[in-house]
Amino acid sequence: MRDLEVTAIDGHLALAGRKAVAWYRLAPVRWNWQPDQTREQMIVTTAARLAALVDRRVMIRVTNRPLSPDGWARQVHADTSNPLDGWNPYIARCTARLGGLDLSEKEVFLGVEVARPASRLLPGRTVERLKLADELAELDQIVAGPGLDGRPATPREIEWLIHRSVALGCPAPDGGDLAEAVDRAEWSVEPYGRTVQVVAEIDGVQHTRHVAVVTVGRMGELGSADPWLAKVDRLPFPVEVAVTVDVLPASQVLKGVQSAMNRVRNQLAHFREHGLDPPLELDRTRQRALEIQAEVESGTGALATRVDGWFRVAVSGVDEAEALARVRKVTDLFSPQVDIVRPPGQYHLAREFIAGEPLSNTAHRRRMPVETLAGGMPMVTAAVGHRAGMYLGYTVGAGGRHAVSWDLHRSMETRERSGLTLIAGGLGSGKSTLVGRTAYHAVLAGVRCTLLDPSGPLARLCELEELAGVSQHIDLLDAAPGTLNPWRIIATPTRDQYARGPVGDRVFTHARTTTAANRRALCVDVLSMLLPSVLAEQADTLTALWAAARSVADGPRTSPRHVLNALRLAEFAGDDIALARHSRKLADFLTDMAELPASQLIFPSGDPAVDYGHAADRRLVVITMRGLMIPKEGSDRRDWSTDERLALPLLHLAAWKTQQAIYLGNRHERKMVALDEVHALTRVGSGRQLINTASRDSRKHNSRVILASQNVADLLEAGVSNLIDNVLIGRTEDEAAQAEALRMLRIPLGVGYEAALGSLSAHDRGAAGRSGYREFVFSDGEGGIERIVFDLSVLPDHVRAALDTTASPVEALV
Amino acid sequence: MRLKNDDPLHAVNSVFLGPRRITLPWTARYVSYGIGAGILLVILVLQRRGGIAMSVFSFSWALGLTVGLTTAVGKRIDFERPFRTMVVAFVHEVTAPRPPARQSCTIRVPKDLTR
Repeated sequence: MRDLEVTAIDGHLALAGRKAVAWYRLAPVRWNWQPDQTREQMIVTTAARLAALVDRRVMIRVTNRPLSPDGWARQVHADTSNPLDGWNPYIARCTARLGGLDLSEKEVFLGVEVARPASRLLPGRTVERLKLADELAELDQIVAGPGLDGRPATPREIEWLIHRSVALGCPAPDGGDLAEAVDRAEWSVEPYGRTVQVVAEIDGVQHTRHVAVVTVGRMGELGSADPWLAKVDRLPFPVEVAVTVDVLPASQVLKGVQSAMNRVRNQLAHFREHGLDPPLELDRTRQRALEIQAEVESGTGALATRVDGWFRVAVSGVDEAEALARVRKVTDLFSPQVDIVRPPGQYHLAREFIAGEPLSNTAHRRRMPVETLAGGMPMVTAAVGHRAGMYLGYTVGAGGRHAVSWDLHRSMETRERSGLTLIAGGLGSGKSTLVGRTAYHAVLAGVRCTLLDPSGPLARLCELEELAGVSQHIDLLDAAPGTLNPWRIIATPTRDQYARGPVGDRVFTHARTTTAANRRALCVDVLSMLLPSVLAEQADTLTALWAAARSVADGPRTSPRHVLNALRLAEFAGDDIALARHSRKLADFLTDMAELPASQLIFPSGDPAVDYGHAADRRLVVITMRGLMIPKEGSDRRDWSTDERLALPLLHLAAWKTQQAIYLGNRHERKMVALDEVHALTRVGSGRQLINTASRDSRKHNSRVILASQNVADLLEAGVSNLIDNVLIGRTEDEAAQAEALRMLRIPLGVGYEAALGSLSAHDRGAAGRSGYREFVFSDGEGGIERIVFDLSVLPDHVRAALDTTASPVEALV
Repeated sequence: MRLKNDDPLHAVNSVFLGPRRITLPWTARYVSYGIGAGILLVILVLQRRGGIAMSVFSFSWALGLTVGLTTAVGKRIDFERPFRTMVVAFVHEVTAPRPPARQSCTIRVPKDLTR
């Protein structure tokens, strides 16, 4: 039995022998999609923070909090209240897919050694802590500053780190309580063995892992664009990192420089004495020594500070062969700039990973400016998305293949933010498929979804076997009369939606009044849109329309036909003969429009109280507008054909109908509303207003509102940029659109990221078929922005076929 | 930004070429002479303990063995791995716990770690 050095944890102090280590958790840092200037500034800021820890030993420990695919599935399932029958097989497919991807969360700890007071007190006494109070307060302040953004680790986190290190390389329970699961592990090693065998019993299951510890050897000059220590995140397997660093005072650095200079001088003299040419290496050493001397003597802060460091990486495998194969991958990853060495004394090297254990061997000491250490940036993370939620795809590029999940309702339920998502991208970038895929997940999970897809391909979702029973497809050109009756699409508030008591009564009454006013306003807007511009622009027109709308009763049997009758009778005009005449003229014209087949949606004949299959009982409603003749942007209203004049109110009402889904049912119920091809909606002022309102109300009504368009500028026109939660940008080739997209992602312009948007979902010139995959830049609204591959492989074949919007000549022959 | 390191400062192998005006036919580091002296001393002590009397032959044998061992050790040490770290690593290898058949080590985390 060999005890740990650490004997007690007091607050964020781990007490070990004559020393104590204050542990901190460092905040993750976003690196990708940042301009070089910002990155360099981040390095300098971090270096300045580390330099403030001069004359101290500092430990950096990078580990991960794992989540297994089963753990992911459990979390997603637990967060789902009313799933459909197809939910379980769907989640099983997702779980199987996640098996090959990284689901863990990176955690970076920083430990700073503090000297314990001379009189060692027994654990449990707080006097010792009091003596250290001033020193700890100073350290807390340094570590909390920009560059490290650290907070004192909780005792539970330190314990977790210790348990994780004791079971080094072994799987940990999902994000869970390691202390409960493992309290000991058997370690052993063969003489001069290449790995340490760790046997730990976790949750009643015995795990055996072979752990190889490698250390960073000689280093060349490195670039700052790629954090050298964070490179290990790209490995397809988890590794543990332990760094021990001595932050040297200037006097010690100068002493070392002087000693090196003396050595060089002596050697040069010795070679001259023997009449031999000295090695070039001596000259380089002399040159570097002079540079360092100048930096230390004249430089200030970070530049002047030097560190001695030992950088260890623990790689594990189920057997020695796997561990060593992984070591080779680590070596390849760092090659050729950095040598990776596997030294002898593996057991003691592995113990360095346990918090509080001493440095086992001073071999492979790395000496560097503190800026180079800061440039390692172990806090960098490529994580994006949420811990659980819809599996969206995986990250590509420098950060490795991390699974990306998207919790559709986290922002509204936990973060109290808007639920607005923007999806933009050029033709064929995968917008509609992404909307459809999200809806498929949401509907299976029991979320009520309403999609407005003017071009229509998403309607195929309603035909899917698993969704058919709970879906409704409304093709506006073939829908039941009255489907878009303003008195039907604005839902009537019900008393149970409001709190009990007199206050609730008042709010309910107010809501009913507002609803009636909104219906009248909507009817007036729609009737006005149907009129030719000559009539619409006359002053009496609005007066007559408003008066007629006001004169009809608000109720389930009301329809715009009642307003037409009111216009014809013109009783509201009283003695105003001109208004009465104008009113009848409007009635004649609108009656003609109401007789058009498509107008039946707005002006139902017969009893308008017929149940048109309101979507309240449907989990998925897809509204399509195939064949709608939307007027060209900027065209003169006087030039519009009758079909074009009718198209705008239909679009407007369709958008209203879609938006109303937010308000259906209980406001706490999870909902999702998606408006595809928003560019068609933003042409109408009231459409823009509608998008704005939907975005604003998404939080209160627990609704994920997804807006999809070819151009971000269309979405910006709706004035919702300050409400955006998530952004997904697909392949965008137009330069202006690229700039808008970057602005939306809050990424600086003009530093080269425009081209990155154009290279998304790149199609191989030599490839014969379709590229088969789509990429997006995903901003999760919580600081994470990464390039991701949108993964459809978790969907059954028939769902993928339904979501495929690409034309197929083979299908044409069927 | 280029991230430099101070490795070149310490990557000097201080070699002893020979006394003034006498250049030796081999080149060895100062540290090798020190290690060699130590090894020679140990071999000589072992010879005496083993009952081998001091003679030209036994000393030559010891010297030859010293050169061989020093060369072998010298190949394994450099500015990255100074001699003392090699000794430490050796001690660690000797004292490390062995697999269950021989000896294993249980690392137990105290139950009442948190105050």
